[in-house]
Amino acid sequence: MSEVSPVVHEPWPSFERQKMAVSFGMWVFIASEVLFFSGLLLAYTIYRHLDAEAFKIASRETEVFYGGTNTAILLTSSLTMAMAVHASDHGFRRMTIRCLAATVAFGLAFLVMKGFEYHSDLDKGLWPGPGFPLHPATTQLFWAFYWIATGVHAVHLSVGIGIVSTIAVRLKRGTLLVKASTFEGAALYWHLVDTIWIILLPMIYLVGRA
Amino acid sequence: MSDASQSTWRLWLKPSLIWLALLVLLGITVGSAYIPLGIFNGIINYSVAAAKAALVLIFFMHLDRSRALIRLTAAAGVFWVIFLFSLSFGDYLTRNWNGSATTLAPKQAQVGTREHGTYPQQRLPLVPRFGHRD
Repeated sequence: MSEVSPVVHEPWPSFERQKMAVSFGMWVFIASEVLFFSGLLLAYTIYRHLDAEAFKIASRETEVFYGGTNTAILLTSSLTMAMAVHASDHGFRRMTIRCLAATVAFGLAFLVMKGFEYHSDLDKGLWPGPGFPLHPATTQLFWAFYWIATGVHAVHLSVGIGIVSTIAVRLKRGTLLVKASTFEGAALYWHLVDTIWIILLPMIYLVGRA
Repeated sequence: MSDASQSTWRLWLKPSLIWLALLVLLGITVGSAYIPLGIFNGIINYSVAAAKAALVLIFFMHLDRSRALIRLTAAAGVFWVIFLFSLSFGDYLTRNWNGSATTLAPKQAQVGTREHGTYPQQRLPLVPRFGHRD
């Protein structure tokens, strides 16, 4: 860890090419993540199409306060992440570290809110299985989607928090240089996690509210 | 120093405006969800989600200044979703020959729950029946 990574790595002839490779690699990964999540979204859409009324009943039980607040938190974390990349492009080391730290803080705040939300959901007994409080039984399909989608999203966010805090610590220790292309790659992943949440918000929280 | 802090300040301007737009869109989507607009509730919710995702993809993920290769890779992800949804719904929306796909029959919906046993009482035909068969 004490070794300082150079800005340009093997086999790239130039920093420009390396940055391009980082973006391209991340976007290929993002496309595979889209593939993964859209399978879930498709299952949701088909079952919602098959029994729209049950999905309205089920969605009304979600905590829109937590969902909305968490969306605002994640959108703000995307701002600080974008600013970290801007700052690193301009060589502002301290600003990059601060923006990365803010991003991690917002990510943790999201998880804490999610914890409160899960607690409230479980208090209401909204875990699919015998004795589920809502009727018809199709409402359990919605709640199965809720637990899987938000759970998988929280895992992604936790990975993001790990990545962003690692590069922030390495930048602070001086083992990563401020102009490194690492920040762009980490930011693309962070924004992907934000985008997934943006799509999940209306599917989970805003059905049948009117 | 004043030069550096001035340029730092300028850096924040555009991303902050996009962030503000994202929060306004969030307000619109949550607020409109409580107004009874029929089918337009869903249309507004999903349009706003698409607009928010587009803002993040284009500005925060820099598709506005990416090379063609990156844009094509991003588009490939979107094309996948279009294929997945249009082909799946091409099936589900037209498969009304056994009545099971239009709405879940209450009994079918409770398959697997304790009070209704593990298997449906009556299995629906799995293949379409065209015309009369003896």
